[in-house]
Amino acid sequence: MIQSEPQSSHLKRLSRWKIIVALLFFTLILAIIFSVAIGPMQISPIDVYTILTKNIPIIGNLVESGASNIETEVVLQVRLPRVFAAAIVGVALACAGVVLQGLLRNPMADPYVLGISAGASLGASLAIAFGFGISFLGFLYAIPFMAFIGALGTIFIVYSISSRSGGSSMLTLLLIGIAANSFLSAIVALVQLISSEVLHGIVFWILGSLQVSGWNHVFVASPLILIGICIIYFYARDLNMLAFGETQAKHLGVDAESLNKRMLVCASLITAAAVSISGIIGFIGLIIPHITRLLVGPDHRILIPSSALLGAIVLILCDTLARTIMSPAEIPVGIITSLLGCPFFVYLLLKKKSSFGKWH
Amino acid sequence: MVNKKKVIIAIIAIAIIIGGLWGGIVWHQSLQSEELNAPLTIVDGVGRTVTITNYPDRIVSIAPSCTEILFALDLQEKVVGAPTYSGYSSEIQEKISSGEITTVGSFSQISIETIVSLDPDLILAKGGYQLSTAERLVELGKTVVIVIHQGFDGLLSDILLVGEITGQNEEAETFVGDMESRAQEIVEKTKDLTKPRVYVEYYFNGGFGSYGSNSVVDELISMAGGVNVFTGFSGQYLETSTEEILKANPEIIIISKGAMSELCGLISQTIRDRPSWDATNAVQENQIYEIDENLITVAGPRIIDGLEELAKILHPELFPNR
Repeated sequence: MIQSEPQSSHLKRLSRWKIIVALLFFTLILAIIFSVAIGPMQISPIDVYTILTKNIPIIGNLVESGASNIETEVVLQVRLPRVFAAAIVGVALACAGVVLQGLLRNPMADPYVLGISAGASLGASLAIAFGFGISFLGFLYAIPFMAFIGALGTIFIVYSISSRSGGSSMLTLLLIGIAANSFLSAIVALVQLISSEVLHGIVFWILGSLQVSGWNHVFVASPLILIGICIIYFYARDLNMLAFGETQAKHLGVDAESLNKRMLVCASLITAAAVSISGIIGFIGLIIPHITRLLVGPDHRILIPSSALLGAIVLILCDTLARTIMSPAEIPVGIITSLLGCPFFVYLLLKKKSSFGKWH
Repeated sequence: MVNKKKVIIAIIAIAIIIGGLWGGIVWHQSLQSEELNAPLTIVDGVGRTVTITNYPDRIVSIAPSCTEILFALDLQEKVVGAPTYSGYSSEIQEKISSGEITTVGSFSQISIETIVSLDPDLILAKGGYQLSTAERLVELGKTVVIVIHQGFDGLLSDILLVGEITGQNEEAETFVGDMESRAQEIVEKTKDLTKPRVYVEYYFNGGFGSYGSNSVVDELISMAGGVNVFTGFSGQYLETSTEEILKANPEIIIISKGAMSELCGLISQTIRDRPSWDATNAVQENQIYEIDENLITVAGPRIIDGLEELAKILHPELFPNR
């Protein structure tokens, strides 16, 4: 193993990590509590929390809820699933970003760089344009399903082309991913052109939104995302070694090729799951990993959990803004994440210029 | 006494059963409204089967055309929520700005929470993009009816459908009958006349925005006795070029006046000033007109007015009183 540090500093670092994760987790809970309490409908925070606690077993019996049925429905069936959807999508995008930046050893990489976004957009566009919802899959969830298929199909094709070409695989993969992105985006534009009655829909889907997220979305996407992240976390140490380059990693006993493949599959699966329920939300997957790296350092063992938590926090807060500031209309959340996040990122970058130099 | 106990228990049991049945029947009857004897089952525009147990009292529309249909059927008192839309008639606009009708967002950005908070017993949505919003509302257990307004006839049957589910059958039939006879009159009058080539523009920005054969505009032009020069393009909208216009050589140019045309400052002078456009018959004969886009592009009840306007532009000789 590469660590040759004394035991005491190792322990110190471990306890620092525990504190970071605990703090972020606490902030996440606060963000959830905060964002379920606000929305276009006026419900007093006290009512919101009695509704919430009422539904916790055992404790619930001790609480008297004076809220009306509609208020209960809004909190439990509209706001809460949406907050959880934001959390799970944030977790997925941030983690996938960390993995792809690590695998491709490229700070510009994000979960969409290999064509997943364009593939998902194409799937969703086809579903929207041809109204697959009507005759296909019994109406519900045609769009998320098609987006998922589009995303996975694209990554599969990109990967098989690049592995057939041989050579320095990660760079080839990146370039083919970029080509696939442009190619599929062009097809999406063509679909938009031909079916412009629903042009609106495709445009807004691509901008990303959690507008229609319900419990079913959360229940379908969460297991996939959480399992994917657990597997990724299991390989955190190997990802650290990959940062020295594939040859170096091989010397350190890491099977770079199979690691690449496994991580790619996990990152693609969690991105596809996230994208299929939220559309293409930008910024989170690119910049949350960088911000986290600035805050906690480049070690994947802390970077992965911290990015996941920070991604969830940021997306929950941005979505809260998206659904409230222009109420009753909503703003696609991707606009908010980029508008607020990018200046903050540049600020952090300038402030901690030195530590960003240690990118890998 | 064991027997006495048994008898008492039996009596109580029978009483509970009878009471329960009776209560159930009463409760069941109270669910049925006086207006509707049996639940009404309909198939909506996307092929879903929807059961209506009661004529709705709190209707939310999430598409502008649906709001217009509801108002046309005298249901304005029952509409509690509608999307914002700049092209509504002043009657609808007033109800929304006065707060009598709550805004639930815009056509593409609907707030689910606002809709749920209005506690609607019927939600009217339009197919296409709104499908995913509608899906979510269905999932929340709301009664959602989706219409798609497929062409002029599709619009008429949508109006009848809305009438059926809201208990406004007569109003809907009268309204649709009126629309049909007005449309029939125009079709009859114009069908044997020569059909002028018509070009409709709603926006320009480099290219010129017009309508293809999938649009309502195209259908209205042919009903009004003309031919859309871009009827060969199967999409709904297209962006075209000067060369295409010269090739098509329209005899009549119509500006579809609305938010988009105002955005780019499109007026008849703009068309006359365009280089080479004076080679077209329309510019030479000064056949450039304007029409309110809300009358010809929104597949709502006002479309019949749009059809009449178009017919007057295409065949002024048929309307001497104008």
